[in-house]
Amino acid sequence: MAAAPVLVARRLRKAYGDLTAVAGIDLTVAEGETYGLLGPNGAGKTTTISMLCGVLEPDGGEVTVAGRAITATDPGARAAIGYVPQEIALYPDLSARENLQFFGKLQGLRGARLDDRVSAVLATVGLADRADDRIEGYSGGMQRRANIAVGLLHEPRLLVLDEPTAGVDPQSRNAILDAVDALGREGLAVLYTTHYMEEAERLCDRVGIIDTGVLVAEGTRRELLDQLGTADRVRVEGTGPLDRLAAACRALDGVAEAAVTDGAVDLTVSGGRRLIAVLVDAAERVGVAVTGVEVVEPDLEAVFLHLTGRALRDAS
Amino acid sequence: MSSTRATLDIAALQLRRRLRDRSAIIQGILAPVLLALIISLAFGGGTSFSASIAVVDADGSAVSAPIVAALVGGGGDGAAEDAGVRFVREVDEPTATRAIDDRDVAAAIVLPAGFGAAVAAGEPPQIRVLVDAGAELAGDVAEAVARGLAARLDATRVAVGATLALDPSLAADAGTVIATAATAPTAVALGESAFGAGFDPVTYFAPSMAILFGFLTLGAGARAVIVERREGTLVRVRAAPVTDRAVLGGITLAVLLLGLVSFVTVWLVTAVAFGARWGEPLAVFVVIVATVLAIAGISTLITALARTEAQADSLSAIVAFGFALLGGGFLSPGDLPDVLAVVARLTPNGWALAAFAELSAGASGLAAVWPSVVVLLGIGVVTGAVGLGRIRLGMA
Repeated sequence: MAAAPVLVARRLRKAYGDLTAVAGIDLTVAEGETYGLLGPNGAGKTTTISMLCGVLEPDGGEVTVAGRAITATDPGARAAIGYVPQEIALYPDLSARENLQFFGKLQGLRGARLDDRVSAVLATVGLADRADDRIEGYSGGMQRRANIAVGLLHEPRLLVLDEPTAGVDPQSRNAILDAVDALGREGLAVLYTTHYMEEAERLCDRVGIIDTGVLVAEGTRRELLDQLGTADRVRVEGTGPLDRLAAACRALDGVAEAAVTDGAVDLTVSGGRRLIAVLVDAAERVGVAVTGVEVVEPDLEAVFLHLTGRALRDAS
Repeated sequence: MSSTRATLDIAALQLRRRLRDRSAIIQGILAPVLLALIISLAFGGGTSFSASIAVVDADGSAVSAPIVAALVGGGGDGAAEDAGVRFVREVDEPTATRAIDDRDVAAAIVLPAGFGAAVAAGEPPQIRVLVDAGAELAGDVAEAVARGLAARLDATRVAVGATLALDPSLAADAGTVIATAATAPTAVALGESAFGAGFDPVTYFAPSMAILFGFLTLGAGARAVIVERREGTLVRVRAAPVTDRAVLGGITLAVLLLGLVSFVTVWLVTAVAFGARWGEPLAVFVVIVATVLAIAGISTLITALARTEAQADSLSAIVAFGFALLGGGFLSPGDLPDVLAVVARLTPNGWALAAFAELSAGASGLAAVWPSVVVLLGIGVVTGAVGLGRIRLGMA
C-alpha cells in the first residue's frame, strides 16, 4: 500500500509584477519519502517552498500538509512543517540552545518537553557539546547544522530544506546529507531543494526538475533517466573556440544536445563511443585542441540538459 | 499556540537581545543622563538658577524709595528668593554698569530721576533695565520684574485717579499712595514665572535628552523588523504557527517596554542622584507613557517608510535631532525664540517638554498637563497605526 501523502500542492502560482516566478506547480510528498526539487538558482525553488510553508501568499493554487490547508488565516496548520530556510535563520548573538528554546516556544513547546526536545535535536546534529556557545562563533557547517536542528525541534510531519548545504565544506556537507538521509528513513516526509545534481541523486526517492517556475519533469531517478532514451553523455575537454565546437557538434548526426560547461563541451548523443572519432575530427576543424574525451553514464544533469537545452551548472 | 503567548515570547527575545548588546542601556539611560548633566553645567554651572540684580534709585523721591527698599529688603511673598534672585542696592547707574561688567551682578533695574514726579503726575513711569549679554536668563528675570512693577504702578495709578475724583483733598499724597501700593509687584512678576521654584537645568534637560535618545533607542527597536528580515530569522518566525499580528505585537511591545524602562530610569537617576525636580510622580509617569507612545509610533512609521536599515537609521537620526532642535530640547525655556516656541508645538518634544516644565514648576496633577498628554497619545496612536499598517513582513 502506498504511503499517505503528507504534502499536496495543486496549481501553485506566484508572480512578481510581470515576472512569473512559479507557474502552476503540482507536487506531492508522501510519508517517509524524500523529494528533491532540483533546479538552477532563480528557477523558483525558494518561492515554491515559501508558499508551501505558508510564509508567502500564493497568487493561486492550494497546499495541504497532513490534511490541513496552509492559509494565512490558519497559522496552526504550519505546526506540521519544519522549515529550514536557505539562509542561516538564527540569532547570531544567542547560543544554539537559546535559539532552539525560542523557536521551540513559538511551536508551542514548554517546560520539560521543550528542554528534552532541545537536547535531542542538539544531539542529532552533533552540537550538544557546543550548545551554549553563541551562533556567531560557529563555523559555517556548524551554523548549517544548528539551522537544521530548529526545523526538527517540534517533530514535524514534513521537513522542508531549502538548499541546506549551500556554502559548506565537504565534511559538513556529508554530515548534513547523512542526517537528512536518516530522517527520511525514519519516516519523515522530506522536501529538499538543491541545484546540486549529486545531492538529489544521493538522497531523493523522487526528483522534480524545476526551471523558470515550471516543473518540467518528475519521477524517480530511473524514470527521469529513461526520458533520455538510449542517449549517452559525452564530455569533450579542450582549448580553443568551444562555442564553435558545440555549434559544429549540434549539426552532426546522432548529437541531440551540446552545451559548453567548465572548459568542455557536454553532449547528449546516440551511440557515444562510435561518435568519438567524429567529434575529435570536428574539434580539429574548428580549431579546438582536444585534451580529453569522456563517455559518462547518464545522470540528472543530462536529464536537465535534455529537458531545458541548458546545463544545470550554467543555468545556476 | 496562543497569539498572546507568542507576542510575549517575541517581546522577551527582542528585549534580551537589546539588553545583551548593551546598546539600549548606553543609548537609553547613560547617554541621556550624561548629556543632560553636561548641558546643565553649560547652561547653569550647577543644578539651580541664581542671580544678583542691582537696583538703583536715581530719583531718591518718596515714591521710588519704598519700591527699592521693598525689593532689596526681600519684600513681597519671598518668590524672588525662592527663584534664586537676590536684589542689591547700587548708588547710581555707572556703579551698577561697572558691577555688571565685573560680573558682580547679572542685571540692573534703574528708577531714573523724575520717576516719582512722573508717577505723581499720572504719567507712565520710565524704568530702565541693564543686562549682561552673557546672562540672558537673569536679564529676562530683571525685565519681568520691571514690567511687573510698571504694570502694577499703572493699575494703581488708575485706581488712585478714580479715588481722587471722589475726594480731591487726597491729591497731595497721590504719589506716595501709588508707590506704597506698588511695593508688591515683584512678587506678582516672579509668581508668574514658569520656574516658580527656580529654573533647574537638570530637571529640564533630563526629559529633553531622554526624548532625544528615546528616538534613537526606540528607533533601533522598531527596526527589528528590517534587521530580522536581513538576518533571515523573520521568515523562520513567520513559518511557525503564529500570526503576523503576534509578530508585530511582540516587536512593538518590546519597543514600548524598552522606552518606558529607559525613561523611568532617567527620571529616577536624575531625581535621586542629581536632585532633579520632576514633579508629581503619577502625572510625570503618565506624561512619560504618552511621550514613549508618541516616540514609538513615529519610530514605527519610520521603519515602515524606510526600505533599508541604513535608510531607517538616517531617518531616525534626522527626526530625533530635528525634533530636538525644533522642540526646544537644546535650549533653556527662557532662551527659546518666539518663532521656535510656536514651532515647538508641532513636535512631540515641544508638547512633552511643556508638560514636564509645568510639572517641575509645581503644577499639580494631570489637570495641568492633560492637553499635552492627549496630543502625545494622539501622535503615538496615529503614527503607530499608519506605520503598523504599512509594514510588510513578507518577502520583498
